[in-house]
Amino acid sequence: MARRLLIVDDEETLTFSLYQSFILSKKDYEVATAGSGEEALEKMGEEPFDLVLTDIFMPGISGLDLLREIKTNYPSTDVIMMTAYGSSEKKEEAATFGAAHYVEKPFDMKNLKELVFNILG
Amino acid sequence: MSSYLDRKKESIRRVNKLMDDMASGQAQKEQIDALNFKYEKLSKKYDQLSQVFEFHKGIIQNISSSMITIDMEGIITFANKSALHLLGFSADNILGKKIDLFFAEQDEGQQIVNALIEQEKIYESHETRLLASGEEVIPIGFSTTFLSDEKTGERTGIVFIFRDIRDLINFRKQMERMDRLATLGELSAGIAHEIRNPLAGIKASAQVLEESFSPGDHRTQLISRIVKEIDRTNKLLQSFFNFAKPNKPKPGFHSLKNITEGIFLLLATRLKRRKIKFHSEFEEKLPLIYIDESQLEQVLLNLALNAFDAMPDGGTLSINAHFDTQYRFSGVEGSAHGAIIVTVKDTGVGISNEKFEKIFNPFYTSKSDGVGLGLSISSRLLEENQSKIEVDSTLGKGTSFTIYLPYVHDNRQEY
Repeated sequence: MARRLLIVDDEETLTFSLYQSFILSKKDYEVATAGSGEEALEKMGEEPFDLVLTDIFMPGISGLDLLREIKTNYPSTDVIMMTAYGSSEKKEEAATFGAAHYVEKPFDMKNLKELVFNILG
Repeated sequence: MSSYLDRKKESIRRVNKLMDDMASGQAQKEQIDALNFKYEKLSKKYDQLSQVFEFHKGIIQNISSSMITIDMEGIITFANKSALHLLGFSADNILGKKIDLFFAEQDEGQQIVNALIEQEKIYESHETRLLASGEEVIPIGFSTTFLSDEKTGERTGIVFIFRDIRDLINFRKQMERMDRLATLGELSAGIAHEIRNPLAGIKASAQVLEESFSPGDHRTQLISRIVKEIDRTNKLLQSFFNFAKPNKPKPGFHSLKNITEGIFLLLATRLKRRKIKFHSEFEEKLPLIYIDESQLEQVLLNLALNAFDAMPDGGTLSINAHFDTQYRFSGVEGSAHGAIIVTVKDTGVGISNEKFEKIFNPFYTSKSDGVGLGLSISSRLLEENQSKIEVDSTLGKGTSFTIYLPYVHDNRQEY
């Protein structure tokens, strides 16, 4: 069964390029995007994902709220947090809530892809 | 017969006189006793008064506030020890002179004295500047009261009570700066988000596009330039955030010697290449310092790299440290005594006077490839660690940065 990846960010340029990148990779991934935390939860409700790649600061449900929600309702889903703030406090908070990784924007696609491949296989 | 009577009369007169003399002797004795009593009382009173006088004199001479009195002509009639010390003059140089002469701006001094004498104005915590010996200008805060004749109520003079407020002014400046920086910190978090998000989008798009070309393709090279420029922008942003919102220090007890040795190792190859000698000297019993180790490393590294740039033809970089038990940080009350004083000194080109004031300002640089954040970040990081930095430089001879790290007693520490 294909592994499922959900990319969540209110920056459409980013979700679009990440989507392209993972679609083009030679992996058999099903990739979906969401422009907000709300939309992400909605999509997860329809069918669960193996990995969620989410921004932290979004209007509405924030990435940390989303992380908490996922860890409560979908404990087997891994989460990678992305952030444009370089604050270490948020990083610690994300780690305590069970985020698998934490990447700072702007990140290197190569590194991010490696991270995702490691988690999804 | 008559002679007999005369004799008797004479006897009676004598007796009467004797009686009178005795009576007056008694009165004189009483008078003397009364005088003695009065004398004793007065001499006791005198002792008491001179004690009170000495007591008041002691207070006036020894209070930490400075005090000067003038008569109604503006002529100085008295100055206490603290006032003489602050102004750096002896009593002879001050008494009998017009007080206006001791204001840094004499016009302002005249205005103040006129307002006091003619309009009977009272000053309360007013700030001005005095001119001490050696032309030194000292900011003071002063208050005034009138001296008046007890009987007539007529004003006879004015008392100035004042204090040196240099520390207070420095402290105020520091607070204002911290305030501005706090706002800047909040602002920068917002800017970070607004700039880094689009950067992330551009970088991801560019790198995805890059994958679709072969490595030798000229389009790949163009894209790698885009990515390089994004990284450069991000690095600049990062330095700015370090300045605007440094991470909270995580202090611990560290050995300054170890930190310096670490920096030396990091720079060893560059020192050699640039023909720079490194020299360090630490007081033998230098206590451990209580600080965020990586932040101090960053500061010392910044200073060392600046020193490198100041010595294009080689020279000597020295880092020395000693413990000053008497050092007091301004604006810090009570127990904050003692500092570990570190100097980072180069034998480079030096800094001119006009640049002196600006070197700690963000984005001020004298290097074509510099961003101008090194020293501002350093001073900010030290501030966050309750420390401070000062600079001294002679054009053509070199620059010396002095860092004051507060001494914190470590209970585990053994000398």
